[in-house]
Amino acid sequence: MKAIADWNIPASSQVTLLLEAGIHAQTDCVRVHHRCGARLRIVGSDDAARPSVLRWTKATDGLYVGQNHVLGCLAQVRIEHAARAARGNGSGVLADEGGHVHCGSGVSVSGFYYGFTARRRGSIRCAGSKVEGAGDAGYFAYMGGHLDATETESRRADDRAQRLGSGYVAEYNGTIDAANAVAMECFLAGYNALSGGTIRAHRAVARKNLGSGFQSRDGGVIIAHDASSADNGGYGVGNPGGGIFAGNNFISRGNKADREAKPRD
Amino acid sequence: MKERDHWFEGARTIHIRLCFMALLVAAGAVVRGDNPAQSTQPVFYQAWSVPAGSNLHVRIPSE
Repeated sequence: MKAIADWNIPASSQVTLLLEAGIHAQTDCVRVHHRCGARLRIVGSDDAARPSVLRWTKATDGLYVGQNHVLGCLAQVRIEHAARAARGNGSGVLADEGGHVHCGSGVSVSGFYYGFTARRRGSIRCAGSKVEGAGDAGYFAYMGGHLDATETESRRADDRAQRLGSGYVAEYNGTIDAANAVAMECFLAGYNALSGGTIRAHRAVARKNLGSGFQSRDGGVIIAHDASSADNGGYGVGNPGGGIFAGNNFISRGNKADREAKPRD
Repeated sequence: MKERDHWFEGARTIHIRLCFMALLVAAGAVVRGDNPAQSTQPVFYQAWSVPAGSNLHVRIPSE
């Protein structure tokens, strides 16, 4: 990024940083603050057998876009933290202070404490992406951040030492569009709206989470028409207090806490 | 007078030689300034304007 930092990219042009297949070890956070960032693309290999992997091993964020900058396209890239004990609280992709990241197909994040994070008017279009092995949250929008996370999948978010671990978390006016998303095998909840956060989860699926499938509290809102919550260890829909959940044609079945809460005949 | 002419002619020859060398150096710089994405040893310039209407691919090798 430093090498092309001062390049001018006219409106009719674009520059693609083509990551060859294999490991691209990174020592620090990659800050994408380019004045023509909307016409800058970071694209990896489309060979599924030999992906392009951006790999970190220390406590840091992966890709950072802030201060109203834009990354025009991130595609066919696996963003990976390879040392979970040393990962800290970093995010794989972080849009901050009005920054925007536009993802194409084939983007996944694994091993970071947060997969995709949008905060303070930052936004990420990450439709179709996947997050695996996060800590607190796979997809995290807070303080006015927004994630377009339709058709995404979040698996195994788990920080049980802190009693955290949700597939999708919206908090402090953060918003997430998680239509058609899937949250599986997370420790605390599949979808978690807290303290004024809002999640749109139409047709979303929560399955086999250790806690509840959907959970809202303290003014959090989840709207989940035609969604389903099944085979979770907690409730299909948990509401510890003060949250709102609405879902027409919502299906809840096989959730352990729901079964135990039912009065016996 | 003749001696003065001789001195002037010598100076002009040196001047022409210097100009020719400067031209060679400038030509070399122009060649190096060609599209860095297409050169075998990419040369990145801190301030460079991508040509209008182009789609440059900068290949980043893996380990």
